[in-house]
Amino acid sequence: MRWNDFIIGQNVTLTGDLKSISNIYIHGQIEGNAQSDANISIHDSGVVKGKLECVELEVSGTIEGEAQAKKIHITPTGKFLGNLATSVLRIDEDASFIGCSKRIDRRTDSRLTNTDPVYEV
Amino acid sequence: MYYYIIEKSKQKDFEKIEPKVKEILTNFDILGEFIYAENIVDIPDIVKTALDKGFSTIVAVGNDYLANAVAVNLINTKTTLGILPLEDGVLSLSLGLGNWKNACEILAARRVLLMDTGLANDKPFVTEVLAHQSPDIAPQIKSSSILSKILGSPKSDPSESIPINININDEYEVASDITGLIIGNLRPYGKDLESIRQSMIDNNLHISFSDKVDSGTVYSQIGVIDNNTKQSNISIFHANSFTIQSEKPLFFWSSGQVIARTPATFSLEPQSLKIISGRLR
Repeated sequence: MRWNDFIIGQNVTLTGDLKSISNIYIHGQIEGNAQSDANISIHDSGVVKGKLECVELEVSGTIEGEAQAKKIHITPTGKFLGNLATSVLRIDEDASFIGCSKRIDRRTDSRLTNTDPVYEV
Repeated sequence: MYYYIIEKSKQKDFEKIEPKVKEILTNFDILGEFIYAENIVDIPDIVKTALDKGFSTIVAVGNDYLANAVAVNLINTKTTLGILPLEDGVLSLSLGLGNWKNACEILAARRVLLMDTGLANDKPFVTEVLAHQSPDIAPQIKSSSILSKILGSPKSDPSESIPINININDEYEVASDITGLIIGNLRPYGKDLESIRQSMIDNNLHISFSDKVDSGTVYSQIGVIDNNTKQSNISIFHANSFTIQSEKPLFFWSSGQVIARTPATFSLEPQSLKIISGRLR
């Protein structure tokens, strides 16, 4: 853990827009958006309703909304409902993804613009 | 010109090393005026006298309590704070002062760090503020970090969980039940002294709280998280301005005194304290 990382504890609800230059670890709930210049981890108990932007995103909890990251990993306990844009998408067995994904070029920072294939795993 | 304030309770400790200290300070040409402080409540008047006399540097000779008490009276002044520690403390260790001999050399080298300080309902603080539901019993810090030896203390009474709401920079709100909460200007946890020192000048206050442990134990829990981010009962936020509201009163303690109660607004005073620091790595 880096000294300026954010941790949202299990029984915490955050409402609004969180911006960080460092990592964000989510065990509680976010109703809003989170943006990190580093990585975001949604742990098993974490729930996000909103939009996430970061370098690498790991989803072991639940996200309802949008996400954009260079790498997105949905682990076996993860549930993703919504649209995502990423260069590298990894969806583990037993993970859930219902929504649209857009592949973005690693060298560009394109935003969610289209609604390409729909996956359900 | 240097002005040295010595804790009266440390007089015997100081007298043992006084000749050597004065010899070293004389060699460095920073020997100045010495005064004993009978009581911590006398510090504002003593510091005011020193400021009126135009001393460029006021040195706290003793522990962190004295250093903090002197520091809050030097915020936003031109006068620099030095520390000559007679025992280990969070502030002295974070500044890399070492023992009193090293500290004398560091005073002479005079590397001045512009340190952030904090305000709690307009009352200044330097290192940290601990929330407690009692206005009478001071919470004690426990830590498992590199500073654990100096922060070690008996476990304080577990607190009842109370709901709080924190509005951070008017950008987002955090709602939680808490049993313990610390607002730190520097972070006396983690394994890296350099990170702790960076936190003194990072333009942020650090809010750490838990719904499982009391304020005094929050830092030791963060020490656990340092190795395992799957721990979920601690929250950490960083901000330069925020307001805390609670359903029941929460009292904020700094250096053994209550300096604010909820609703409390905290803000950062960037680079507001000139303090002599050891060499940065």
